[in-house]
Amino acid sequence: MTVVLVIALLLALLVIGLPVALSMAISGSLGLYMFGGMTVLAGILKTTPLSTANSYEIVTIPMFILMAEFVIISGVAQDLFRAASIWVGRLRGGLAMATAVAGAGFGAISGSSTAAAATLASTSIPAMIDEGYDPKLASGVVAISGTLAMLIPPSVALILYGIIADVSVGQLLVAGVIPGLLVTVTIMATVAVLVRIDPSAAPTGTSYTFREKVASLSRVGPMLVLFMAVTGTIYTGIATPTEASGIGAFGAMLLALRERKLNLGAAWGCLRRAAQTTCMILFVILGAHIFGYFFTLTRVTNDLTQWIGGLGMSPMAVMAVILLIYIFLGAFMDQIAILILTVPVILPLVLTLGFDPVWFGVIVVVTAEVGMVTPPLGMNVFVVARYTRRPLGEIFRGTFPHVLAHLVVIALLTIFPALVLWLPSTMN
Amino acid sequence: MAISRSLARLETVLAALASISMAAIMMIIVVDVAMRYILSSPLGWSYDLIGLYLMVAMFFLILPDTLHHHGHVAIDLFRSALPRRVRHLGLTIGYAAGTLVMALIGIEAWGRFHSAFAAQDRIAALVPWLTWPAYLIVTIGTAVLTLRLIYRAVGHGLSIFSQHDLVEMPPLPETSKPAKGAAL
Repeated sequence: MTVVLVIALLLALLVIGLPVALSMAISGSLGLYMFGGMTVLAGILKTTPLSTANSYEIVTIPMFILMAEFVIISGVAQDLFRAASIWVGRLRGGLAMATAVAGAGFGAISGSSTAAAATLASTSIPAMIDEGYDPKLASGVVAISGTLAMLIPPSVALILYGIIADVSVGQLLVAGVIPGLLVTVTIMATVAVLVRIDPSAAPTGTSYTFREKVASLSRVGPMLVLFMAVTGTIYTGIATPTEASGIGAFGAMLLALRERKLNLGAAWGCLRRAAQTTCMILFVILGAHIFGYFFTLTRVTNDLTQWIGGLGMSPMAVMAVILLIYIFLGAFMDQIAILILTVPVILPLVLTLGFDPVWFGVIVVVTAEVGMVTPPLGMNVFVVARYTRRPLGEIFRGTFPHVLAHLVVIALLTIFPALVLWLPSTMN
Repeated sequence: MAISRSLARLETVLAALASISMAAIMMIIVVDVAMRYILSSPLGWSYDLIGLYLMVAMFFLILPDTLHHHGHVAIDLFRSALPRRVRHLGLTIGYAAGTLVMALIGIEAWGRFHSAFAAQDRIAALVPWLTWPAYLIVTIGTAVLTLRLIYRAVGHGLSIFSQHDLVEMPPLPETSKPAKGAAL
């Protein structure tokens, strides 16, 4: 009865629009009070807040967010799109494919999906519209390409999963590389299919000489260095993810300085925004910890695991149900909230079924990508709509083919876990 | 609102301290890595300084500023579906309950600060840092957050009986996230 009451309270608070973190802290606190009285509640509120923040490992989150902030103000991310369009822009739909490549490149130096969508929206959509692209195709490919930042390291979503699930953050980040490339190729292939079905949706572009193509890479160099400084050092074992994140943020700051975009005001803006975003994530973690203690004490997770285990379904069937739930939740809830609310409950079940926690983390993030572009709460679609002033419905329709293609990728990654697990298995 | 503006000034000061903490974390990590791999002489105190003080400062000192700027993620799907007064009533109850929880956290942190300060407790590490500054930071952050929550609870409560919103409302869904550098 207490569990039902607490969950109902949580849902009610979420529905009225109270911050997710506060909703979880309030409902969890009420549950703890009902379960063990003031002694239990006070004991948990005494230790949990400080232990949420005073961890060295969690430093990875603010540092990668800060890195994204510096990369954005440096303006070098725009050069990624220009370079990619010089290489593949000649093909029909080439600029849309270049958007996917630029999305992957931006993802390699930033862990922020909405930031990637915003940057791509401000650069590639005007270019595509000028070339005569169908706005639906153009905005759809930008919204979906932005999600690559969630998967390609450094990914804040994967780090968050690693912290919640107590899984190696380094392995998770490296595990995101091949699925990230697979998703990039899938987006490009989807564009190719779309323009084949409707050639009027995208014209062919300008062709460039090999010399011009090589020259375009000169602006991409600093970003490759940054990527190697982060993912390269994690993969080779030279640096821990925490060290790599600090180096990455510092490298991005130097990049912004080199581009003469970093003054005191800009630095203050970057630091404050990064601190606010980090605070938002940590506050949700704090709320989830309080709520999680209630769940642990009432043995809800154990009961759920035993119940599903007793159904007699095959592990793959259970996984299919879990992924459907994630796709459904992704359409309604913020990805951070989904990770924090569901992973502590679902992961024990996933481990019981014999699945790998690193593989599951990547799968959950790929599934969350779908939620970023599906109605009604597709955050990347909102960002693209805001930057381009195009109707939400048009962009949601533009992302629909990519959603279908994403489902195929999820199926592939589920059937062939080695696509996720091979690269981390070769780590030092 | 004068009260909100006064609180905002205090929140901005704390946000500046949180931002300085973030910059310090970055610089300490870089120096530590450079010392470790170039001079084979890492800073022995960096982990504890970052974990015990700087991360705590960065999180707790910017908590109220983030709430003030609607930076904490919330589900606004049902925003337009709920009648205005019902929403204000719900938020009044929610923020009032949040006030209780955060005040309780602040009181507990104050208690820990008090005992750690009296005993001059230190961590068991190469550099035995004092523990009370961390508890003090938690107390300050949650105290200012509690004030902001009280302001929100009262503002939403009064808005129920008014034709106008007497407290800052979150921006529209399309603009509810920062344009740059959102988390995911």
